[in-house]
Amino acid sequence: MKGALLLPFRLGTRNRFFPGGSLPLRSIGLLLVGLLICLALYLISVRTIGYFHAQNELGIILSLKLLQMAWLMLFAMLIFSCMVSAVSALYLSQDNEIVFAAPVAPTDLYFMRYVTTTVYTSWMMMAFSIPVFGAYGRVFAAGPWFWPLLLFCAVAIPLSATGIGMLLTVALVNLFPARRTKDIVVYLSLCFGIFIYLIFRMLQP
Amino acid sequence: MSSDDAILAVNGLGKKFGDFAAVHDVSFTMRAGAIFGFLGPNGAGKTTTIKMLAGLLKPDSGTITIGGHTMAAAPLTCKGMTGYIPDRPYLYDKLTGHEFLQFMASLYELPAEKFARSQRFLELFDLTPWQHHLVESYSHGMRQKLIMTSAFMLDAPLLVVDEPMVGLDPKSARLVKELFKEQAGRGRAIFLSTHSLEIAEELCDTIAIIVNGRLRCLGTLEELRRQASRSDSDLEEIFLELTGTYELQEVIRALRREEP
Repeated sequence: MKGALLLPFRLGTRNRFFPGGSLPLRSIGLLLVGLLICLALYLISVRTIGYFHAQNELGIILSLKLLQMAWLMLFAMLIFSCMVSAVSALYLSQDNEIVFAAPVAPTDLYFMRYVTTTVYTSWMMMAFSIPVFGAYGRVFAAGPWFWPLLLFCAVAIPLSATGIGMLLTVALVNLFPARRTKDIVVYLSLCFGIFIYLIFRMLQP
Repeated sequence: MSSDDAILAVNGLGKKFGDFAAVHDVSFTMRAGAIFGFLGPNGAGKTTTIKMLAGLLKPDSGTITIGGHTMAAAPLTCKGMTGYIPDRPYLYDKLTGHEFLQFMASLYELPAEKFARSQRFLELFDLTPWQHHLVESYSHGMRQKLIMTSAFMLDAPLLVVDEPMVGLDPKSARLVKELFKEQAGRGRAIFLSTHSLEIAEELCDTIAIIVNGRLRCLGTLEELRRQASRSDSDLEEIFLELTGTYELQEVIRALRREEP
């Protein structure tokens, strides 16, 4: 049943990017633009981290602190992004009427929403963060385990963030109506963005 | 009819939204092969009742029994025995009609030979040439016909239909009526919520009228005539009488008199 529920997501994605089983110019263009952005991010990151790394001991500490900050920020952003998306996916989605009326167990429904929300909210952030973290691997001359572990983290981090985000969403919807919860989460995300901006502006060297 | 041989038995159904009782103490039964018309003015509680029958809303009180299974105790069994056609169905724009039917068949774990039945309905609805086109290119009527195909294809013992004719051209509307009659003839029970009194009068062997969340009357057209004390009246007059809006007819007559 889990596979059946993911059918619209799977076939819809295929029809969007490979209509009629072909690879149209639009999809090739999107892929190339994506790869170019990844390449640019990788080169910029290698240059920046390399610069820090070339400094004395403080530079290495600084680049490692930046790595920690990047992971934490990414994780927090994924949680907020997931919460906004999860309210819509779980409670306001237009296809709820069809799938809820079908003989589908609630656990299967939650699983389907979990998988689709994870992909929708985090594919872009993870795709563009891999070149940045890959740059760390290159500058620090990471061992062979770094690369598979990086890919593992790129999957595990969004899955964990979505899990936490959906849990918080379900808890909030038990307190407030779904539409109000969505507004609350959007405002909270906005506050989080402003908070991050202010933190960066107030950072003292 | 006892509730034992009923396909659908609703007993003391109630639903509140805050302090507002949308549905209050609604009870009726439906046997196999019956077409049950569910009428009522806007905001009377029709959609809330339908959503409870389809398992989309949890009742605050009362029971829904489908094919001997209660919705509260065995929701998946009940849902598996019910085909549901919403009034404004959402279809996945990026799926083709055929893929959408495949999806619905897999949700209900329909075997391949039963899924093959969908071709007959697609043909009847003139959707065969469109079945491999994306749903985003379908008109409202075509979408309605596709969701009907998916419900008929399931061949469920109970079919719950909310406003079946919205967006359908006269040919398709005629076809849907005939299909309802055919399905009922094959022993399927059809619960039909509609604003069209003509459809209810033509198709339904039992009619219920709900007003302010309560069943105002329930019975055959003849029984409704008796309840409204209007022999030889059509369903429109009975509906207006029983829903307390008969004075509207006086207003209509007055307006017609004023016409130049």
